[in-house]
Amino acid sequence: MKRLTLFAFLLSGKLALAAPEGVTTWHLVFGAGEAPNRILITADPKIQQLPDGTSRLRVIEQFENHPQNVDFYVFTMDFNTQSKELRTYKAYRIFKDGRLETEEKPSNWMAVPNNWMRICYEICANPNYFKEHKDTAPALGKMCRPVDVVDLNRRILWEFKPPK
Amino acid sequence: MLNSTTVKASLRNLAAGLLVLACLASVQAQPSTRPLFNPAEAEELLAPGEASLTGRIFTVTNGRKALISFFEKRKYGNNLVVYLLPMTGHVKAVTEGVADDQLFYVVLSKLDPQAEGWSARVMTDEEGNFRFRALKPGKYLLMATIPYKTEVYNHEYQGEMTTTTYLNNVPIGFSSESIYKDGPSREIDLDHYIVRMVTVEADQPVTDLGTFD
Repeated sequence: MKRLTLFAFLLSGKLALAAPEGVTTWHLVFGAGEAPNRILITADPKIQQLPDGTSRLRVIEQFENHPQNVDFYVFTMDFNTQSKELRTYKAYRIFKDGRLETEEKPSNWMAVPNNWMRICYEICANPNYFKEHKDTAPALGKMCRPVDVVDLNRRILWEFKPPK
Repeated sequence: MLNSTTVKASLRNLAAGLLVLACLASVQAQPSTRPLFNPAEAEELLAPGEASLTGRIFTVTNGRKALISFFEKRKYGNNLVVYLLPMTGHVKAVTEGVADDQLFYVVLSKLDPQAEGWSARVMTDEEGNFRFRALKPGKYLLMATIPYKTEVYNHEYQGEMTTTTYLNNVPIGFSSESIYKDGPSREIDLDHYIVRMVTVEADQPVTDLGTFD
């Protein structure tokens, strides 16, 4: 495990090289399930505060296996921390075969369910979330594209083989 | 202890260094009409698409690119980062009309360092293979660096050996031969830079660049 952590650190360190300010530092915030059906949730800690008090957060949900062969979703989610509600502002998903589907229409508001979305809600409600959860929500590296985050996660967390 | 060859080599290196600095300074001094790098434009060009780009990178470590690859000593770039820069106005202006073998110098001297950060990036596997997914079709600038070790030794000039040939005590010929001494070999660290323009095809799901250096 120590070696895995070191390798992950080295990889993410390499990927963080030459990344200027403004490029997202993705954080791993949640993992669940057993192989080969695990899921991982990675979040962009740059929370956008909208004038109406809504907090907007970008989240990646990736699947080790999915019944419809979805590789990952990228959600842009709105959280109302007063009413403890959320909605999906927009989203897209990429399938294992490379197909892309987008949803530009916001969903209806709903109560925050008790799953990984609860963690996302806490991230929005607590400005110090990442400082207080350094060990459970580690930074992965600076990357522009969610798909690159997904591939890095898969490699270092799901398909890890010790370097030769 | 310095010998004349070492001194000459040092002076040559110094002169070459000054020349490079002068070139870079002149590049910097020229008023630039290039568009500034715009992160929002890069982000837009990096929005997800449905195409993929694959390839495998290597370098030749014995300094010899042989016609028959049997004679080459190849090192594949394993566990390295490969960058793919979208063709923003800035990148386009910097690279337009530049020959492939000159791209590295252009990138070194003219490319805004921010552009490298606003890029797609992946890690190569153990065999140097990489795969970019979810790309939009179009032109990109691919960049990677492969560190490697190579063996070097000093080939030092020692002087001249003159031979005189006599016939019946009469000199009938002279010959002269330069004498060199090979010093001990040692390993040095070098980097091989790969910078090339690539096109992600619109009409095929996967564009394969093959194996390249």
